[in-house]
Amino acid sequence: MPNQNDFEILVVDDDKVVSLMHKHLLSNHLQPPIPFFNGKKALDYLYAKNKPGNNFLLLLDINMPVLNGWDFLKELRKNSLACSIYVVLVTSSICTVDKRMAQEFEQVIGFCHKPLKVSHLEKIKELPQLRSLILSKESDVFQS
Amino acid sequence: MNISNWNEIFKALPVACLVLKPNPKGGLFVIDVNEPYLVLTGTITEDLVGKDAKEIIPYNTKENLEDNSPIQQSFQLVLDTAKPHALTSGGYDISIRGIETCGDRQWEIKNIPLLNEKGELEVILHTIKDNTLEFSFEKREKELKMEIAVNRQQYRNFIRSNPDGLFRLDLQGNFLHANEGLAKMADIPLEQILKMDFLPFCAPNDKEYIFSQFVQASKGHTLSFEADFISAKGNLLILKILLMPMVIDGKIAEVHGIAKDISGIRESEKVIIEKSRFLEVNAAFISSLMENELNEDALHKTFEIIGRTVEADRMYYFGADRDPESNEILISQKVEWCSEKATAQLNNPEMQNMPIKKIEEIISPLTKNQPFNATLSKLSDGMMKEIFTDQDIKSMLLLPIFMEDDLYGFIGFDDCTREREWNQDEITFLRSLTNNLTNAFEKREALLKVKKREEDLKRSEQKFRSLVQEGSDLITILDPKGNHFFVSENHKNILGIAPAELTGKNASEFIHPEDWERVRGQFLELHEVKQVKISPFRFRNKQGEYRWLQTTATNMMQDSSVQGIVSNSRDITTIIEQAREIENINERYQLAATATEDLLYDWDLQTREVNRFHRGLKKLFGYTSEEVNQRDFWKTKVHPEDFPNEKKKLSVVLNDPSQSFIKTEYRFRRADGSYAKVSDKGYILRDHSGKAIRLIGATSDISDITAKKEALKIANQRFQMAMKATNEMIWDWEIATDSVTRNKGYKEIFGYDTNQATSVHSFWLTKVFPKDQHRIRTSLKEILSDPTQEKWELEYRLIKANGELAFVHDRGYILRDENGTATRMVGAVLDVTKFRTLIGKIKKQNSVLKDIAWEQSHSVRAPLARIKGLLNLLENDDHEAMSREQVLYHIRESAEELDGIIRSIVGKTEEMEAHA
Repeated sequence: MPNQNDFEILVVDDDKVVSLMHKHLLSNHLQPPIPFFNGKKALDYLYAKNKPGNNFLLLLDINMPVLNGWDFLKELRKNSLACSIYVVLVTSSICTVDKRMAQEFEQVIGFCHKPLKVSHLEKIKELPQLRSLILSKESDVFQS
Repeated sequence: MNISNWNEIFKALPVACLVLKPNPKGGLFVIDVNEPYLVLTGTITEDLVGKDAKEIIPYNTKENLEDNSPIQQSFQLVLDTAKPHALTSGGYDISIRGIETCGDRQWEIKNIPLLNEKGELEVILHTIKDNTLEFSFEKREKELKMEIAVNRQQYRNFIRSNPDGLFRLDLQGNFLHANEGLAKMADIPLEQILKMDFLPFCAPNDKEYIFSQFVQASKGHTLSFEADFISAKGNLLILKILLMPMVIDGKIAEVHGIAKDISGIRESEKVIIEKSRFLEVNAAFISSLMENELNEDALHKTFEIIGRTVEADRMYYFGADRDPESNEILISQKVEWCSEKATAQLNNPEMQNMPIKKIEEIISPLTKNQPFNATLSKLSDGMMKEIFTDQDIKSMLLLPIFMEDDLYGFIGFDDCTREREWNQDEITFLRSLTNNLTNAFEKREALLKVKKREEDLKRSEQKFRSLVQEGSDLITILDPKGNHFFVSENHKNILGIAPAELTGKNASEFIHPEDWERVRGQFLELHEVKQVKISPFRFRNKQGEYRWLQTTATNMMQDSSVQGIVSNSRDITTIIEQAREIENINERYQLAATATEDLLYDWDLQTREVNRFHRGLKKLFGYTSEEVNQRDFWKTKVHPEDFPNEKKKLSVVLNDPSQSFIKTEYRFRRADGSYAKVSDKGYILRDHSGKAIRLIGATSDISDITAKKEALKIANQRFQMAMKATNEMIWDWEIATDSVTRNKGYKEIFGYDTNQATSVHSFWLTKVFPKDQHRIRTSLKEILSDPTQEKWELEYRLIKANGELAFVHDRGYILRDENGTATRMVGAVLDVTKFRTLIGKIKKQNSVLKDIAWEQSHSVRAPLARIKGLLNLLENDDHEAMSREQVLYHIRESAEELDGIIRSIVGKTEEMEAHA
């Protein structure tokens, strides 16, 4: 049976240690993510899997080489994709400007400071845009 | 019985009888008949004997029963049983000799069989007895019985269900009998009534009267009367009573009576009377309003009529006005009528200019055009209740008067004796009255408006009349042929001609024959143009003298209220004469001229002759009087550059009939060859057609005056000196000529020679940094074209003579003429380059600071966040992702990274301090 509600989590962060820690946390508390070390690679992946019904949660770092978080978001905005993309910015910055800038992108639904903690994940799960996706995912698990 | 002797019996029978013998073929036939039968039926033997019984004894009905008639059945019965049979009643008429008769006769019939010796039926004796009379008597009796039964039932129904009260009284007045109708009227069960006499039911006021009527009836009189009664429950009834004495055995035993309830009828009669009274009042009110002006007297009278009709104690009218300041509604009592039971309130100061909002209860209904009705006992405490108590009011009804959606006032009715509940009819009636009042108020308002308009009209008419009558303009209206059909009154004063004398006459009769053709020609131009100015012409007055008139004629043929040519004329005889007189004054010029330095001249424009008068002590402009008097003196001395212009100017003014004066300035060559500045003023004389005929004027040397302008220049120089004293570059821009004066600062600051700088557009703008030029142009244009703007200010870049770029702050003040047109701008330019550079530096520093801040928030935070995450792993003893050694390794790495970043920040800060 084709999975209509394909839901994947992408961790986009150039810091390999952080990335590893996030992967570990997500695998334990949500689902195993796919790591990307810069925005460009993540973007390529999304283009490849761009079709309606595919849902992506991106945990996006801002300060990255090749294509940083902002440029990544701008690229997304330029090419409206058929799949659904929800972005949670995960940054080490405590600069309030970043938070304000993030509001300009409609795909950004959350903002977390590094390091990611279990409490962050709980909050992400409760985001209205994601709740149904994560629920349906869990019910799939029960059915199988 | 023996057959042998039947014949004898038959003959001896006294009853009518037929002998019938059975026919072997069926049926019976007559074999004999006796005398009584023949007599009874009116027949003869031949009619009957030998005939078939069926044929001669038809049953006496109109129905054709044939074989089945009771008689035939009886025959058959006898034939079958051989026993006699009788019919108590049956009728037939014998059809005699072909005559069909069918009467009402009833027979008692007996058919008796006679048997022979063998016991067989021989014959049947058929006897009849006429019992028609007995039969009909019985029938009648039956009918009567039925009728009685019906009557009895009807009577019972009549008594029982009769809505009227039916009763019997004994001679003491006790009820012997009564029906339900009476019980109903009396509001008491029937059994109770039968134990009572009638007196308790009589209303006290009519008790004696009713009793006397009963006595009369008991004495044998039948009578009918109306009286008031009271039911057991206390309801007042008006009953119409009919009393009849009942005579039994020759003596009056009882009194029978019928009571009819006519309360309703009387009540409606009362209502009808009341309504007709209302209508009368209404009619009286309307006619009073129609006939009289709506004043307080008239209202007071009608209020009394209405008040008395509706039985109110006080009727009044309150006017409602809006307070011009607060716009709240103020009410004042205007008219009041009081009955004897109420005290007047018209002079109560509290009832004047009272804000309606003080009486909360009435605002809502009145402002919604609804009646207000209140009784004392139902009022809650408040202003209204106070008014009730103060004025002894028990009940109040207020009806609003509305005009054009606004409360105009209200009519009130007070009751001072009882708590009256006004019924709907009364309110409706009174509302219709107030509606009439409203109409009357509207009528009054309308009349006032009409009156005002009439007065306005009258005033404007008077104004017009006075303009026409007393104005100096003579106004006439002419038909297209020039016949007068309206002539203003002032003709009498001015020309001595009464309007009647001129009306109907043609203008040609009065206009000077020499002028007529010209005037007519101009008048005819009105076919093409709306208005023509007719040049002065002579018009004969009453005394036969000609007066000079100047006329403006306007074609108003199309104007339905005029339909003619309106001519406005003015007597200008005096002016013309004065002009003539001037000719005679030339001598005086000569004298006048001696007293002045000016050159006076009198130029006859028709002959081109010029008289110049100069008697000054000094020679004018150094010329001798001979030279001055030469014909072309003036022409040759005017500066060649000025001459064409002056000539043109003069010609324009002279050819414009409306101009009577010329003033000009030009240069005039002195005898020594130098030029004097002169001012020339001339008066133009014109003939009746407006053509200039003479120019009389004076030429004065104003060179000295011109010199004074020099003083102004000096003042300007002072300004320029002041300009030098400032560090700023001061500029003065004469906008019309686009010439700019700048102070020395210009050279010092920007390196350009001030002498080069003469124009905004050709010089200064070219030195402005190209990207800023457009901005300057637009801002200047915008500000100069707005007459309200006095100041201009802008920062831009200027290219110095050495090629360096200077930032300048330029600001200017605008001078404008009386039309608001910008004529001059004075301003100052300040070099703000240094200031700008400083700002640039600050900006640069800011950006360094920003970098530091960014690094702090990003670069520093990154390893820090990593360390925090790793520490989490360590604390939780979570080594699924990496081993303890790996975690420690990454912590160390991150700590070193952090150290590197901090060093770099410190380095940048030091670098910045070094630059500062």
